[in-house]
Amino acid sequence: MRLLRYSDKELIEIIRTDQDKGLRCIYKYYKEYCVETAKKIFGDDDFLEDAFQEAVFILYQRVLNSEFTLSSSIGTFLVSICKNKILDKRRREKRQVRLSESLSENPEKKDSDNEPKSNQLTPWVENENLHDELASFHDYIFTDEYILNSIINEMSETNPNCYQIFSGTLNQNISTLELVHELGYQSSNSLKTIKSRCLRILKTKFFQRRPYAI
Amino acid sequence: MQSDFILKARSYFLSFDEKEMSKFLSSLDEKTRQIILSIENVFHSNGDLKDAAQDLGLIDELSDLKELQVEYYIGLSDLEKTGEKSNAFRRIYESKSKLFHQIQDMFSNSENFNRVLYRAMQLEVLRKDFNEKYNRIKLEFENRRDYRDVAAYRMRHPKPWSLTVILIILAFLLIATLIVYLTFFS
Repeated sequence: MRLLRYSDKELIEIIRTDQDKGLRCIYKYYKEYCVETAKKIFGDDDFLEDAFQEAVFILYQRVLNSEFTLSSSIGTFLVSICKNKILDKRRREKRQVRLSESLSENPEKKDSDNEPKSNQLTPWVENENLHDELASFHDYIFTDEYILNSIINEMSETNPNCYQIFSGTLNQNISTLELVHELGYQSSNSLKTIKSRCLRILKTKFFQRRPYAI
Repeated sequence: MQSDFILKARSYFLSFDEKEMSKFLSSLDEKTRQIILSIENVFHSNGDLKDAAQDLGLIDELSDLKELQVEYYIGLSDLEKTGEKSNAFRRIYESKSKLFHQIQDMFSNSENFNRVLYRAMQLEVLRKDFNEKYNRIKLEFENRRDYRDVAAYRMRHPKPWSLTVILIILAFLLIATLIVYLTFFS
């Protein structure tokens, strides 16, 4: 299929009306550009493509869920999100290392001191308008909803049992008994026990990932 | 990968049952038992986990211990909400641990957390749907690129038989031109 070159405004309208077509255009126009730009800055990293996918997902959420108007180009916006997602990931990795290397006398206080402040995540801002957009993006990735969602999404690989329980619980058409049967537990009590364990794991990760949490 | 010690510590702390905990403790060797009791003391008394980990030779396990501490406190708070009183909860509460109180504040309103969890799961449904579409389109573009790569490769490296066919066609055309020339112009 031949894809015309649309303006950003048109592209946002296309995403709203025909998501598949919009996605195809975004992928064709921006994937290589974003990944290559990020590669120049961060070097080769398996996460680059994932960061682009996440950036497009965030753009989609913004475009579909609100009266979103973009004052910079979509390309600049996506590249900035990509860069900041990679930074965010590296910062978390670094924090894991730092935690085992240099906690101070009062770990509770020091951790919150070391946590990046939200407005520090702006090294890639190129103009004022983009600053506002990134600030809103940044607010979004630090919403409880987004953090919890990221953890649950990771659980689909690291802890599939918990992931299944959370997914099943969301489905209101399914009763607890049906869920017990579907997930292969012996009784609703054992499901309840596992679910409370899963919730505890989720809360722990949530607490640790939330900015200024610890 | 968590160390053997961390797995033991998790089994101990996260059982939340004093009888079970003491039974588990008695099944351990003396050294492990002492280390676990020292960590328990830090957890219950708002002590410095890093210092303790350093003294106990567990500095490499510090981030796992930190996570265990948070999970333990969350578990105790959840139990407290169900009406179960425990000595551990009381001791930590009285120790005025900032971490413990932060955890209590964050999860004191279960309804709030459940509401956010519900929204996060709804977002997960959207994400799944999006990822499906994205991966389908990614595959589409990759296949197209593979096809283009193959075509470009064939142009650069034509198969020997295709060269022969081209030569035969050229020879045939040459002969035909010669015949036409000899028939009409000689």
